[in-house]
Amino acid sequence: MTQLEEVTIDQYKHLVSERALTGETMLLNMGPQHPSTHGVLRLLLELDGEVVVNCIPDIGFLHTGIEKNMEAKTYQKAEVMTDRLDYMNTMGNNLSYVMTVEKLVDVDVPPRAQALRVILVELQRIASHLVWLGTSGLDLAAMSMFLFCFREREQILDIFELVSGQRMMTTYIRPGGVWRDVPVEFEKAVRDFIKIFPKRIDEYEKLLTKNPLFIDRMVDIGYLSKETALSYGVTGPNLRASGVNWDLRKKRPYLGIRPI
Amino acid sequence: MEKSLEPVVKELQDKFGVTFEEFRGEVQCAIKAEHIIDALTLVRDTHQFELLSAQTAVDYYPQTSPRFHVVYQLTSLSKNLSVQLRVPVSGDSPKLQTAANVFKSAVWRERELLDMFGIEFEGHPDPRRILMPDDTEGHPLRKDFPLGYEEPQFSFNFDEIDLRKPYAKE
Repeated sequence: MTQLEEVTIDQYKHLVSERALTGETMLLNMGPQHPSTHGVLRLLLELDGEVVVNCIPDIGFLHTGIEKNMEAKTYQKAEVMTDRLDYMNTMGNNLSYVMTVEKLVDVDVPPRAQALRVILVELQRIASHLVWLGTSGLDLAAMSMFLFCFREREQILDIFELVSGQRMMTTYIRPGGVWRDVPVEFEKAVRDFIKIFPKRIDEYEKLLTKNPLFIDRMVDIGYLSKETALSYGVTGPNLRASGVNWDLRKKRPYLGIRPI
Repeated sequence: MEKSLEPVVKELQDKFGVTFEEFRGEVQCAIKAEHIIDALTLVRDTHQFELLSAQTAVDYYPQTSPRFHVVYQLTSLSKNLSVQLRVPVSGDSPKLQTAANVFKSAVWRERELLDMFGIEFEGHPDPRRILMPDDTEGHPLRKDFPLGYEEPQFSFNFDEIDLRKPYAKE
């Protein structure tokens, strides 16, 4: 480790606009820890008053060398590390790794395991999106949104604990199937969740959708056009929000999903 | 190979002399380093492969030539196709042309390749390390970089380890 050097604007001269060099806009450091708690991320913001003109992210604080570590392990041991890549979507990470291994080794998965995988992966997707919604609300100071979403997420994490013994880092989906069969209470737990969740979504909509504060802070902020999104390699819900009709579950159905 | 992918691969074969392999339904084409930017532009404009899904590298150490394969994974959303282009790159001072003018996502991905493998890209607008601190020596994802096992620094061995660390000389 070398001693700390003073950070001058010269390092970032090619990334900021000319107004920063004259001092018209201010270059501010939003350090690795900040109250948004979206993981450690360092942002160098070029501010013109309150408007962010330019933003230079500095990443690498969450880089734990998982790729390099996984190279040194067997296929089963390396799967444990895939849980920790995107810790909001543990079943999904497990699934993508396991499907790759199954494709390499050419292994078939029994239909009951496929159905279990689909149920758990979609529940995990809902849990991950609930975290997004809750923390977005929290950032806009709608704190009850946070509590509502995490209340639902507790129910999903209880289902995961029922199935695998772990709330988050489950490693339940294994190459060739799943770890073991689900207990008998699984069906009732999932059906209860499915029954109450649409009403909860109505509650969220009642809080946020027509709220003038929410609309004021979200509409026309951070617009991403279709060409920009494709050029920058955006996928998933963000790409659908930019207007591209691409859902991997419908276009390349996996695990026996039958698109309606 | 799917029917609609065949004309794409055929055109790549005719224009740039690629050789392709197929494994479990995925097509990988090996292409030479000087043709890669033309191939990417062709595939993006003529065949509507709008998305550069991934740009990574593989290290085939101890094989020294070619040591790295830089892999470009392209997806066409309108035609629902995927194709993979591989560029063999030699081991000592690997250099390639930047794809930042073709796909903007290549800017950060090439920074990652520079950081992790040491592959340099000519014409890149922002050649800095992205994940590791700026004063790191070496490139972590190369196969001859050690896996770690750094000795933890507690209070009883703090001074000994401190003496070994490379601080800047005054």
